[in-house]
Amino acid sequence: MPPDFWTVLFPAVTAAFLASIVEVVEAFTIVLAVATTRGWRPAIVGTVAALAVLGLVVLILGPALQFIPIHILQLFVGILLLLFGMGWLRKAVLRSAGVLPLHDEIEAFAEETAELQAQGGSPQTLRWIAGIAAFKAVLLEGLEVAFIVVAVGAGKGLLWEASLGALAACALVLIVGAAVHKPLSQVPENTLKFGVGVMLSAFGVFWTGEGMGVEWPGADLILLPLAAVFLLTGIALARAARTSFERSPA
Amino acid sequence: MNILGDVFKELFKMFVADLRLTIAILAGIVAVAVLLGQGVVGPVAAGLLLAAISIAVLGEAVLRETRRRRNR
Repeated sequence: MPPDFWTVLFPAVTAAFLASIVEVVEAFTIVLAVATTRGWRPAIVGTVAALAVLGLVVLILGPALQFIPIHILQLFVGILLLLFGMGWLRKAVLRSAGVLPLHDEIEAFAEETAELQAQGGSPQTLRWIAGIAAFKAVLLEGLEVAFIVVAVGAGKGLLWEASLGALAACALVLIVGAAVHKPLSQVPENTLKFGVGVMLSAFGVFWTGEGMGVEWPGADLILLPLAAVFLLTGIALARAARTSFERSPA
Repeated sequence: MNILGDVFKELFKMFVADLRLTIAILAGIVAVAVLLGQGVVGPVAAGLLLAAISIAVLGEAVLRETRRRRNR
């Protein structure tokens, strides 16, 4: 087992895996709406085409980043991870507090189905529109996964490990989705988003600091207390936000 | 459907979900870098300061959005 297994490898792969679950579940809802409205062919073609584009992005961008000096890369990736992670954590806290509504897969499925059914044209045109809808959904939801995989991979040379984490999540969602054949509304999306936001924020602070020349006490081990601080802050903020939100305006 | 436009919009949203949060984080990073570069804070304190700023910015962003939605 590598010495940084628990502090770097495990959290990085876990972040890629959990983030992928969140995004793939959302993409699967749209793909399922396409499949039930216009058949599986446009759904599968659109999905495979989007996955190919995303795979290409990761395969080109990941190795290309290795040519950037490590401190500049860590600073750049760290800042992006911090902004992205804090964005997810903020949204997850607000949803957890009831300030923002939770993402509803059943509603998303109904909306997409209604939109597809409202389209007019020849059967071929309708299949094209459906295929493009599947392509767009997988591409847009997958962009965040591709970013996490590339960012986490570039910072510590874990591109393959992070990619495997993301692919495992894809496979899991597809297997479960194919078995139940309906939107995966039981997945605790916000809890996953909360956890990933915590991990990415901790990675972001750590790598931004490394890029600036910060000396972290305990080196990689500081990631654990950093994640714990973000987690506890998130929980406390969710409670404070709920209390404040339920109070009537002054 | 403008797919490329949607891709860029999604990329923008990934890092600028809340403009004030993004600006505050970037300002915090610049401030810590300047303080570290001028020797005002040491390399260990700079890291702790960066973490503290991030936590404070997160708290402000959550409570600001909560107030905004409550008062609507």
